[in-house]
Amino acid sequence: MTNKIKELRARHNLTQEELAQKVGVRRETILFLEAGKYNPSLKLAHDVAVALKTSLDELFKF
Amino acid sequence: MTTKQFQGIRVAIAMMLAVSVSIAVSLGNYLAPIIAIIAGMIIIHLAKRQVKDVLADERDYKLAGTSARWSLGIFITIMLIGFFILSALKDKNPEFANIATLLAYLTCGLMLLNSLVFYWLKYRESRGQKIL
Repeated sequence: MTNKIKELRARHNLTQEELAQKVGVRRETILFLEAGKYNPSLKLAHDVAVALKTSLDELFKF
Repeated sequence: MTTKQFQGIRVAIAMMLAVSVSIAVSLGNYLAPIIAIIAGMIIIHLAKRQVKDVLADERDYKLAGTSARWSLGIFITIMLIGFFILSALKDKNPEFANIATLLAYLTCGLMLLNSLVFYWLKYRESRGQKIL
């Protein structure tokens, strides 16, 4: 599974810390998500997509 | 309050608790450690409520679940080995049989508790209640 979190986060000028605060997780979790080392819950994936103003389909590629 | 400040408070309380409990026990006072532990838990709980950052998220809970499963497996294996060794050595010392029985009951008790908590959480989940 790959994702565009890092790319979209940069496009929205958000730091990992800011994105983490928006979705209610620790910065480390965003780091793991971006590296593709963690499979998020559907809720977290949805929250990240909303925070980055995109869709789940656009954000994650299976 | 930041996460670092909270962690500092938690470490300070743990250190103070360790000192106060050891002093109280060495003086033969067993009520003071209980009060100190309860007071420490209340202070930590109150401090935790002041923290604005996220202290633990779904990844931590997932890791905690895996950690708990591993710990349970390791504990049960060690207790089982201990049970067999002590049972085999009961001819050398009859007390070993009692200790082996205690280990067996402790292990069974822990497994029972784990099953009860698991089915309770499963029940709550089926009713749509929060389990984390």
